[in-house]
Amino acid sequence: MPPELLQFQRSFAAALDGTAQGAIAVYRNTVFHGAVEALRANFPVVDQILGAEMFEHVAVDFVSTCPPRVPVLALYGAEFADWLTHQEWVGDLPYLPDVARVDRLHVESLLSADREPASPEEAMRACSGTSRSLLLHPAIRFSWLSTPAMSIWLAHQGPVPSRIAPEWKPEGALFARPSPFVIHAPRIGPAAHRILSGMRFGETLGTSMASATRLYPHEDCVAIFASLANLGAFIAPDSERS
Amino acid sequence: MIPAAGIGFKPRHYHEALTSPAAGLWFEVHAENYMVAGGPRLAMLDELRSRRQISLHGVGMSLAGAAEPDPGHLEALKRLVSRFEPAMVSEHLAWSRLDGRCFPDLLPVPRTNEVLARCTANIARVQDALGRQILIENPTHYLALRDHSWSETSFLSELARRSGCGLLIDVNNVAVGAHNLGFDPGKWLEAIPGTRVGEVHLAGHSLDTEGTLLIDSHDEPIAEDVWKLYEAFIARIGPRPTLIERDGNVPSFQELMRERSRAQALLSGDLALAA
Repeated sequence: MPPELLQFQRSFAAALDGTAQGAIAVYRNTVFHGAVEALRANFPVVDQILGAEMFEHVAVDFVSTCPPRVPVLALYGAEFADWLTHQEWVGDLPYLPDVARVDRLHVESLLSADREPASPEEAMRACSGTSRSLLLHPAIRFSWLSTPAMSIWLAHQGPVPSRIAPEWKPEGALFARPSPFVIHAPRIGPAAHRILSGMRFGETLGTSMASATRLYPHEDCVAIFASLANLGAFIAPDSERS
Repeated sequence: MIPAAGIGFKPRHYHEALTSPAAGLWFEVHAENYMVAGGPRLAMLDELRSRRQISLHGVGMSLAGAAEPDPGHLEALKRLVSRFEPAMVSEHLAWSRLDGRCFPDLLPVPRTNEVLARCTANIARVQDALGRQILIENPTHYLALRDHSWSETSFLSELARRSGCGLLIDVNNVAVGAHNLGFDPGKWLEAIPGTRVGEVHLAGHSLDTEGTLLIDSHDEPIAEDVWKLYEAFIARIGPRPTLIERDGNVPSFQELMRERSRAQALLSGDLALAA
């Protein structure tokens, strides 16, 4: 690398990280503004909950700790939810890190690869063992959360947040995007989460279904599977690279 | 055919962009916003591209930095170019990547022989990978760096000569830099070789909070002095594809199209309409 240019860049970067004034402050503001607004766009419900001003303070702290590593900011903030858990003030909003996780699942689902999902009929044939097993759709994202964060997230999807008093218990979040402009965002229970988790970690559909049925004998796992299939949660193995 | 004026595409304008009857209208997008695996962003751009020409404007290649272009980033740009077959591909005379960190800005460099050589090599690498010419945009200036060996216009001209790239002249950047550093924007534009210019950008600017520096904020209508500079520039070099940029306080599609119509009238030589 050209040594003088590299030295200049490092000096300039150090100036941006310092107490910038005058013209350097313009560059510093732009650098922070770009990262903060990317974070705001990627965590819209956290932004709604905190309010624009508070979000900006939080985001500046985060950007200082975890600056962007790639120029594609559409997925910036992978560490944001975990970082929130370590902030002292978040004790007043114990659901906030999980809401950030839901925001993240949503963005990841929106930007993942497109694939034609297995039809419900195809999925049911696979479930009954009369055709090959299935894989998860590349745009599916899900998580099990220790707080009712998905209920809170869903309440913030309208133009005006709904007033909710969610039951304080764990729940699952699912995002399924069977086509570019269609996204489903339901809460899921532990049996659905068990089926999906098993498949994510490489279990066959049959094994995942058997485990879910054993763990949750009072749930209708076939009906749950059918619901997931209707959301476009699966692909046939031969469509994985289509 | 007279080169046309375009506008920066905003997803909120999607349906109006698709159905606009404006002849020759084209759209520019920031390439990095579309370097994703799938989903609505790419689907919208596919649909737009099926009806209109587009331009890919990169902001993250860090061509004026000491490092070579990131291979993964270059590969992502190549995929976009292959998918969308844009009319123009452009980047900046700036750096934004250093030691594993990315700065969401277009940072300046001293115009030295060393930077000229590095930048030439980086542009050549991008052009070789894409198999086509790219355009390089002149940066905004807020800071009078020491140690320049070249004037900016000579540097850009030489960069274009050595690398074979074209130039994207942002007239607002010239006006902002002229205000902040105290040079004559008209003379700056006169020194640019017209044959190298493949595109022109027009945008708005604002004053900083201290009221001293102009900021290339892209959040205001294009200023009258920028329109005058543009008119003289186009009169000298001839019509070029011209982009109306707006990234903050984004107005209605119709308002952007009014600015676009003014640029289009100037490109067409219809001074009565452009007034």
